[in-house]
Amino acid sequence: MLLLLVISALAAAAPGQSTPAATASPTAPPQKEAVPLSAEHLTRPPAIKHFAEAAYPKEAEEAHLTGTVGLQVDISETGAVTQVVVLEPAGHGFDEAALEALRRFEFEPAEIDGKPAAVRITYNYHFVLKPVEAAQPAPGEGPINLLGTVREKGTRKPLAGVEVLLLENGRSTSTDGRGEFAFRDVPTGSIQVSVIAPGYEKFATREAISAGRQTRVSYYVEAQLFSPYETVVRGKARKEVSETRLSVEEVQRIPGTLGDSLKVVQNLPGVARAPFNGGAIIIRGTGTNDSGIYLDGERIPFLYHFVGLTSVYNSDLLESVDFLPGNYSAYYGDQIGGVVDVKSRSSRTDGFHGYANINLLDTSVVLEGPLAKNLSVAFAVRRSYIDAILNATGLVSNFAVAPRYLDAQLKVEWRLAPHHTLTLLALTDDDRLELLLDRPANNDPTVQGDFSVHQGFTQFRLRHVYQNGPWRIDTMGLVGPSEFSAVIGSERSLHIYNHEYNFRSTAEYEVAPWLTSAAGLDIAYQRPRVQANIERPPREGEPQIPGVLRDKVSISRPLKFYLPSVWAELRLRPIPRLLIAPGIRSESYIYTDQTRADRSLNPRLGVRFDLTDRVTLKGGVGLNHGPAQMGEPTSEFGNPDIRARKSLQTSLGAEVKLTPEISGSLEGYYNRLSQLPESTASGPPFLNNDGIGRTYGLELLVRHSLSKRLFGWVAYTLSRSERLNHPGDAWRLFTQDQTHILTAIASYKLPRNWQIGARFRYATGNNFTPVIDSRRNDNLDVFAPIFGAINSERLPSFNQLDIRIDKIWVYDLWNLDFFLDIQNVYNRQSVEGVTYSYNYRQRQYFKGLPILPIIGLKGSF
Amino acid sequence: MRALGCIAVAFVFTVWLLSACGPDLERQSQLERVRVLAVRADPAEIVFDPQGSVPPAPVRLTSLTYAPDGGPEVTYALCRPGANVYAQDVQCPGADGLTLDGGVVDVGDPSVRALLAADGGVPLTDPSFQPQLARGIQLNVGYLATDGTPGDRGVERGVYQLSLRATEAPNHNPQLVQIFVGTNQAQPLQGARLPLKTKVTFTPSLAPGSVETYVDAAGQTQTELLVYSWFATGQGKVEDFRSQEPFNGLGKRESDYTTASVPEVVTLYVVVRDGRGGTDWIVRSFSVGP
Repeated sequence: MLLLLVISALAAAAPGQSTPAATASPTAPPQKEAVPLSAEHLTRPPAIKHFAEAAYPKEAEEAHLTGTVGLQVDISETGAVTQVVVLEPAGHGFDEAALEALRRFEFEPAEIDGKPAAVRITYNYHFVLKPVEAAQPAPGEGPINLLGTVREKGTRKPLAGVEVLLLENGRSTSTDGRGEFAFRDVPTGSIQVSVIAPGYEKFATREAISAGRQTRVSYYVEAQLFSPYETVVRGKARKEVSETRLSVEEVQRIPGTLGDSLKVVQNLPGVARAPFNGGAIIIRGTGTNDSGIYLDGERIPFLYHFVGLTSVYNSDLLESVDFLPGNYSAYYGDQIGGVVDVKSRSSRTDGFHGYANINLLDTSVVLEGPLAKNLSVAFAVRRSYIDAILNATGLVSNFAVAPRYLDAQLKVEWRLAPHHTLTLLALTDDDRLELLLDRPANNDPTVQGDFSVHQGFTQFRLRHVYQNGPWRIDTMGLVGPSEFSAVIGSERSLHIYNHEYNFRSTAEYEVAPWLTSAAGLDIAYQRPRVQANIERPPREGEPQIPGVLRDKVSISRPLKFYLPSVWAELRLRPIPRLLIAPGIRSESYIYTDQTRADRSLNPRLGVRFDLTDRVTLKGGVGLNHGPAQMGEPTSEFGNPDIRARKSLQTSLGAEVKLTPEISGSLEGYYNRLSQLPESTASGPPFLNNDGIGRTYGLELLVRHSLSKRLFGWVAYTLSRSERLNHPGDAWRLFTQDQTHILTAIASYKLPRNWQIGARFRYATGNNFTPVIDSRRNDNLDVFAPIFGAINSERLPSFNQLDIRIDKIWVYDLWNLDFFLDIQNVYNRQSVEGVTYSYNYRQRQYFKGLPILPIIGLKGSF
Repeated sequence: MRALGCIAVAFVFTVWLLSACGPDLERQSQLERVRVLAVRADPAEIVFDPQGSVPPAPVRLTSLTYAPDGGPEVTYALCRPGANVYAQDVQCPGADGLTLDGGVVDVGDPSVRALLAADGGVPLTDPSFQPQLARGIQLNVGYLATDGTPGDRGVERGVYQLSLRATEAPNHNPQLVQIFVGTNQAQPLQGARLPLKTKVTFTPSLAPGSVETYVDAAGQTQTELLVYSWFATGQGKVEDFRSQEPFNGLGKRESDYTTASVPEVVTLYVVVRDGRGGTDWIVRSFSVGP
């Protein structure tokens, strides 16, 4: 089975034929050390066993031309080269020569999970002309009197396999795995030293060699295309039948998102544009709370700081973002929408690194590195300063605590024994805002005095991964408190103090090369204590009169949410081209006031078939359930015996590999929703499971995978999402039903470390329920709207262009990235909603932000 | 309960945001169409004696109104219990209410009692209903104000909630006695002449005893929090539509007003509410000019 595992590889110069002006010095080109992947994938990269020297093209040699040919090489599980494709041609005969040489290479095969496996790598074959080599002293003669290291400028990364030349002496050597080199018996006096590294600018300097002394040097060579990130695109033969994975460099560079991983997902097909360009994740016509947002397989209490400014986990500590819009593995459950699983990355072990990032909204600092041979740590902290800006400018004077957010993460990894890795991840978040209103609010005279919002959480996650041969066992425990408090004037308040205890254990066993089995336990337990005096919150599709005119609900007691699940799955390959993944997941939903526990059984089936080497068909069908949300299972707010909402998901599509870097995907889906909680005419109970829904559509993605210079994609979704609240009602549109969603993104690296990117978006407007009349309440001096047909009108469509420009200055020990992110370049204020006059006789559109430039500086070492 | 916080945050921010939106929309302080600015009950609530020895006094409802060409006619009706007074198909005054002649609510009137008792709504003489009476119930009185102008500019519908309670400490209407220009209570507003295009401060003055204390349903002693609403004719702008009597160091009773750039005579209407159904108002006129 061919795993499409691509490792960016840099090779030392492949020397040309010798001439009076050039010599050939074949060296075994080492591979660049692969990015440390999680233990579940690459355990040993392929290594060259037999290096085949290419014939230097006569035309190029006579013209004193050099070149680098970028190639894609498929290596079998026996180490044989099965296919070679030129990705970046150099012309002048170099391409043909490199192709011919690569076909004669032999490799030690790569290992995946400790077993030989086929891989695909990129390999740069370099043609370099070297000076004539004079007679060299025999190895071992004389003391070492010139030694040093060669590192990459800006990142301090040691460069292995790089050629260091003493041109005037005709001597050369290569750096070892630590980037070190040494020369013996170098003549005293001034001598020129050159460093030739493929993909790097040529480096040359003069050193003074003194008798009886050792000269120690450090050289920093600049990459021709600087990138602090490794390019790792994971393979397709993973457990998910349909998945889009984004690398961290793609995440960091998308205009308009400021590198926020969750906001990047909003640019993929199947995801609606969020209101106010905020943080809502609306997947295939379901609400944000209907989808699962995970960090390493476990959920986090709050996704965003203050209504979607930025997500609570620093995206620089992420390895990848997995987006699963539907028909996913039985590993995921307790939701009826899609899944976004962000994966934290391992901390770097090649020395201490970090950065400081300052922009208009916040400042963040990251530090990481090895503490011991098998122990590494990463720490990140971020704090906003909106409060300081507001206080300094005096724009708003009645903040008791101006809005500010703070988050921090600490990750410690310990490879405590062969096959065992232990990880501790601690994360915390704290957001506050407090206003003192010296006058009642116009639209609600009961809102006066104190107005405050505070949310925060802390989580401790302990994870153990065991990987040995066919076995992989991944176990994680999570504990942590969270708090949400809101005080709205003297009459409304909501306080939730929660303690969360989760446990997840997954075992995978490769029974045979064509059969892998997996099973797991997934338990979530929460004990919130709720104190509230507040109206029942509005529900989607149920417009409400102002809260000031509705009865309040009082509650002050502890609650319980217990959601245990077990699941099992097989991944079968009866023939190499066909993957069948049946699974089943059993879930239970246990709440405080239930008279009987609610349970569900969720069968799943996913299929992938490689029609050809370029075309894959995929499809799936599966049942999903989502537990009660918010206060739904309480007697005060909803119904203790409310059933879990249900979704039957189906999808069918195809993927096409147009070129090695350009792929396309077209997928159709149809989801049938049922048992949706809806308000009763009068309670208690205040909810029942009358609601049903249907969502369907087509999603198209054409993507240029991250290469040296370019990445981007075009995503288009055609969709419809409808609901029916109660039997006998008419079908109506879901509030965030957006018929057309188009996103086009491109980012390109220019010379001299400039990078420019653009994002264009178009989306059909959201739906809203119009007000057709009103009645006044004299006691409160406010008007109550009377609504027309639910979601019967639509806002104007949305379109926006964002641009991002980066310029990186690379110094020896660090690099500085200046960025300018301009959101809404042509200053078109989008329509985000409708606002009415006090008596609802007039209305006008509520606009979004105008053009918004944000600048920032990031210094990394 | 994970999502409750997120939704609630969105909810409170929506309330906050929308309360300050719409610079181009008609302001509530502007008087341009038929308006009912306040309804007052005299006495402030129906005091009910469960023993029946003292008949409840009738309550007369009066309104502070505005219409471009003179006061509109106001009709009151006692709405049937259980009717959703904010639904479009509920007509009160109309088929869903008992018209109140002269705006008088007399609980001793048999037709009123019959309406209240219908569908088990408010059985005043039922002993099991007495605890509820002690806490107080709200009777919905619908009103319809119209000056005959066609369209929605000539009509307004609304509800006033009249308290009915068995108590020995009934609520009283506050008394708004004066509006001053500035904060030092030196210059009454009535008849004042103010400069053009100038921001001025108006300060209301209450009669002693207007801010009452009371015992709430939980047995706690509370102090009324009085809220003012400010309305004006003319081209000037009420900067602060609502203000409140200071309490525990918080709150401002003053309201800022920016005079027009053209000479005019302005009528200012100020309403005060005590949050328990008690209401009063004052009307003052002043001129603006060079």
